[in-house]
Amino acid sequence: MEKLTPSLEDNLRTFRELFHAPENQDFVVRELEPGGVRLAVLCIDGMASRRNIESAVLRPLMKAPPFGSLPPETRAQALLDKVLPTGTGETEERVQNIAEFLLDGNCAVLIDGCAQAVLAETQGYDTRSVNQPLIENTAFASHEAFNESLRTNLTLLRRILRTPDLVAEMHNIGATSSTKVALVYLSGVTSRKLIAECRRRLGGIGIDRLLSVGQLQQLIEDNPRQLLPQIVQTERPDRTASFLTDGMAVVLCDGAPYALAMPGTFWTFLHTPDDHALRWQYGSFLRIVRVLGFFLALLLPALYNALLLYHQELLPMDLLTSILEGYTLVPLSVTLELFLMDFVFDLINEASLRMPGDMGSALGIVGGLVLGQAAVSANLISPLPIIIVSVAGLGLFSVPSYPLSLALRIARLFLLLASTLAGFAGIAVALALLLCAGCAMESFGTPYFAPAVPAMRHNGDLFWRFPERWQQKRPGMAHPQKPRRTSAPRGWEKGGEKP
Amino acid sequence: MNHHIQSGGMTALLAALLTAQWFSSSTEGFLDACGNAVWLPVLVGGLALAGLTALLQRLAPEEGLLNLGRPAALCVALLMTLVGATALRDTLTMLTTFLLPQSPRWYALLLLLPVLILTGCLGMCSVARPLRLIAPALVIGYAAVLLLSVWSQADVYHFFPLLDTGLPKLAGTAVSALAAGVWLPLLWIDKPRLGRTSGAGAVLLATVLAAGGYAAYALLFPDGLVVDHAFPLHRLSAAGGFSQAFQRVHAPFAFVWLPVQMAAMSAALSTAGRGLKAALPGVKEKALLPVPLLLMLALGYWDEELSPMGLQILLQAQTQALLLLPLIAGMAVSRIRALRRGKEARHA
Repeated sequence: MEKLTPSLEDNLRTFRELFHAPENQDFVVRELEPGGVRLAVLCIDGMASRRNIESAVLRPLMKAPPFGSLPPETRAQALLDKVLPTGTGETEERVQNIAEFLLDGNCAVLIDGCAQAVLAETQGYDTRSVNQPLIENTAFASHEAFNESLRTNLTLLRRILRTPDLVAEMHNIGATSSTKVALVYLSGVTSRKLIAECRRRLGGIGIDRLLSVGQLQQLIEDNPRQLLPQIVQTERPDRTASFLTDGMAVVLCDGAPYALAMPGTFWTFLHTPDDHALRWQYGSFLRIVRVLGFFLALLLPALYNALLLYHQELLPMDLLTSILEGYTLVPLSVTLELFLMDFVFDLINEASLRMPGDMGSALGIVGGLVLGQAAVSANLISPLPIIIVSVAGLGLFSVPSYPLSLALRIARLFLLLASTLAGFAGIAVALALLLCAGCAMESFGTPYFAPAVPAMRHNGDLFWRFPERWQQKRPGMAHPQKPRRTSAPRGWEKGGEKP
Repeated sequence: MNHHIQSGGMTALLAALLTAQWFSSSTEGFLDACGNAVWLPVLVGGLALAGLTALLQRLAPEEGLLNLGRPAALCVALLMTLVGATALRDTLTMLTTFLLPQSPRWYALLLLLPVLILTGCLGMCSVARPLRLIAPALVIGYAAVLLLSVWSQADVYHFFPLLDTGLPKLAGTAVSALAAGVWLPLLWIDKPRLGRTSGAGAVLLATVLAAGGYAAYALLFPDGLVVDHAFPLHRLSAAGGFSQAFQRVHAPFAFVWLPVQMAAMSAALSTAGRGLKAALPGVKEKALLPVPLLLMLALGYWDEELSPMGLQILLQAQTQALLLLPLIAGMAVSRIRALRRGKEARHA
């Protein structure tokens, strides 16, 4: 690795070549000569704060006592000790490391005659403030969400988990982007095997640029060809903290307002922070509603299709007559209708997602109500498929994980096709395919449907959310080092101190 | 990934197979002898299943059945292929009889093929784990549809035609349901040590299903006006038992049950592939998987009425029972050796 030389001219030439100056006008070099020694302050314009540079570097340097008489090799240390009020208090001699430090928004002071640079923290680029979650909204849990700054996100986590055991290991990923990625875990809780596996995977990524956490997720997950999401993606610090205390490992990526938690199992995608923020009865009830919504979204259109095409005898005669009457003036077949409605539903969903703010909800109303009503009036579609697809759509929205709901949308089409081919038998075969493929999956060494299948120790927080006092153990999916979370959640009941 | 049936799972499966074989050869005479004492065949069948599971569990070698040697591995491979073929034949029959009556047999096979190939390639985890999710779903769905059917008086004739009248026939149904328990030990395949739970659990669940089936019958068809599509009991084999039982007891659940049968067949296939590997050293495991698959498809495709006598004999329960004998002998020898080794170790 290239190192600095005692010659300031040579060092400046090296950095100008590295940063393509003078063409690259963001690379700023400020040369000055305080105390009889030539110095150069290097920084990237916009990344470093001018005010910080002036107050923390330039002003102290201008007021510095003469240090030209000092031996050249000690000048960097002298500046650090007596002149510059820097937080890091570091000197560096490797060019690559100095360049990375500059790219983080800091500045470096090169000194003539000295083969070391003084590093000063002067970051000053703008970041979005901490806002409310956009996707994972809750009623009673915290309303903070991650933003794009890795430092802010780590701070949000540390504010929740005030323990020295919270470890954040930094990695740089991407040959060009050199994106900062933090592997976060609770030392003593998270399994060592899991941490080692995360390190191995993060260390083994060889790509040019890392632009999003979704990209990172695809690079480290176990089964890229499978439909179901295998790593939990969350924008909520409180949920991330909960994963950490459960013994899971978390990855945060600079520039991404999401955290990745692993291992991801199927059940974690159906849980929300509200389950715990509310009393256990309410939490359990809402969870059951969500699970029912999941099955409605997956199966309802396919079941309706199979019933009308293959198994009409299962419907009561009144209902069957009423349904068939609705089809007398409709030119499309049941299957085509369902596919069409499903497509229109996805289209409205996608369009309203891309439209800004209020326009999106207006589009949903126009698409859902006006279009549907018009289609029925024009005898293009019978009313029942609209109800079926709408209820299935509501079920889809009740699934808290967006990646899982996307997987559901695709699986639903697959099931609809299977029901068209062979009715219930087709649905059964398609479900068997999905289930077998899902059950063969593992996420970071944990079976995807654990702890239900295969049966593992868990803490009463799976289908049903049991009371807090029964959740003294951590979920076993991540194989935490300390299986027990606490010993007495309501210790005061057992004769605690009374006033 | 767990690609092998663990010793406990395999022994429980064998115990259940043996019980079903016994019923398959003696059901009619035994049931006639029992008369109206319905509880007797259920009790005897249940005790036999649980007892055999316990016995074989004691005999089971720690290292797994496939490591007993080439003869044992070949037996496992053949047995599983035949079991798979029988299950395939019954599944195809059920599909083309009830669910897809206007479709040809090859269409039903084409439908099943992706599941067979996928689960065969993915291994035992993809087979054993879904069963643990499907079993509770099956019971819940069973109860729900039963209630809804009775409540709405829906005409579920096509899905509920298979029970006959009278207590002796109920005994037949119960025995069928017990045979259905044959495949339930697969639920515990993921567990390295199965114990006796699987046998007892299988018996319990099968009994519940049988009782529920009879209740459904009594509620839906109080006058007994049901056309008997029931298959003769002598066809009740280890593999067919499951499909037979479901046809008889809770055919409405073919929808839920079908994946179970598929998964069970895949279990047979993947195990057969691994058994062949042990039997023919030096051949790659994945290269052998198509062998039992193709053999199973070739044997199981034909309808019973159309298949030649030789094939029928091959797929009969007795042939499969014969293949179990060398396995049990191997297990006993392995157990005796292990006991001897233990004794020598203690002596040393």
